[in-house]
Amino acid sequence: MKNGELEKLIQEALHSSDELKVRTELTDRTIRKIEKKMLLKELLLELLYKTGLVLFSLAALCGILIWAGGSELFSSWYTQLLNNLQVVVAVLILVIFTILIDQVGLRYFEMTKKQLNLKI
Amino acid sequence: MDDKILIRRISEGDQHALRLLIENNRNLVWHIIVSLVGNSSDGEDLFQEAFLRVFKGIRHFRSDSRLSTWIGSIAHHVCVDYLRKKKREMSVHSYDTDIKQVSNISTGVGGNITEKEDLKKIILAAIARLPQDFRTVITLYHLDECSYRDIAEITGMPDGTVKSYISRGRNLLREILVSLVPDLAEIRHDE
Repeated sequence: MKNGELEKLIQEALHSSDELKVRTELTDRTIRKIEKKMLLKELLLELLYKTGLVLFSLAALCGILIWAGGSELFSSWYTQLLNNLQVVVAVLILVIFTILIDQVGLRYFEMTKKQLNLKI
Repeated sequence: MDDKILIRRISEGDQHALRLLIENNRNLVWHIIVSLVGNSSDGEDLFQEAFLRVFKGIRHFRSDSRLSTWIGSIAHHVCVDYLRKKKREMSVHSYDTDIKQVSNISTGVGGNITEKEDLKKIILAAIARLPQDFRTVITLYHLDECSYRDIAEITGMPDGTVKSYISRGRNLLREILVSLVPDLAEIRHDE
């Protein structure tokens, strides 16, 4: 068997293989997966910016209060915080969880559901 | 559409540009996956993973190589990572036809291969029996019509190695074909 003949046979055989043909729906599924990943990333980034803004505002407020009321006010707050540490931590975890669900989880679910409806 | 414009539009979040990128390169990516991993259910996950990595890294793409070969090299990396995790070479490489079926074809009709479809099946099964690197190189060269340079960039092999693998792959293929169907050369000659 000559090289040219073998090459032609290989080419014809490979082109005839069903296994080597891509299913068209795979493109749609891939685009959807990429979109979902990007959406999640966007929502998490947005939450990060918002959290940063809130924390920055709180820090600024504390700074002003300490500047106005002196360090005594800060130490009394600190004592209060230490005395109620468990409650404070529990409330913080609850707040973080609620915000995460509300700002990321639910919005992600709603947006992906909308995209699905549009497709249909 | 020019590669640079396509990349810019994808970076800006244009879904149509993303679709175009996937449609233009899906065959190449799929062929790399099937030749390395086989057509298992994992193949579809690897396909998605490859394009996800392409999407994440497209901003960092430098025009040193063609976009398609860069995408191909990512797909190749995804498969290699997958195989490394599995810690073994996948043995499921049917390319449509099981080798047992091929034996039936080659011996079932009194040793005569008259049907062209049967011949194609035999060749596909023979390609599937090639070592992994040979199979990939042969598939990319003959199916995707990639140049030696493109295959070298995709697989990370030197150009000379690619050339040698194609030549040795063909020889191996010829040996496998003859071992499966000893009278193949004569039959082709008769045609």
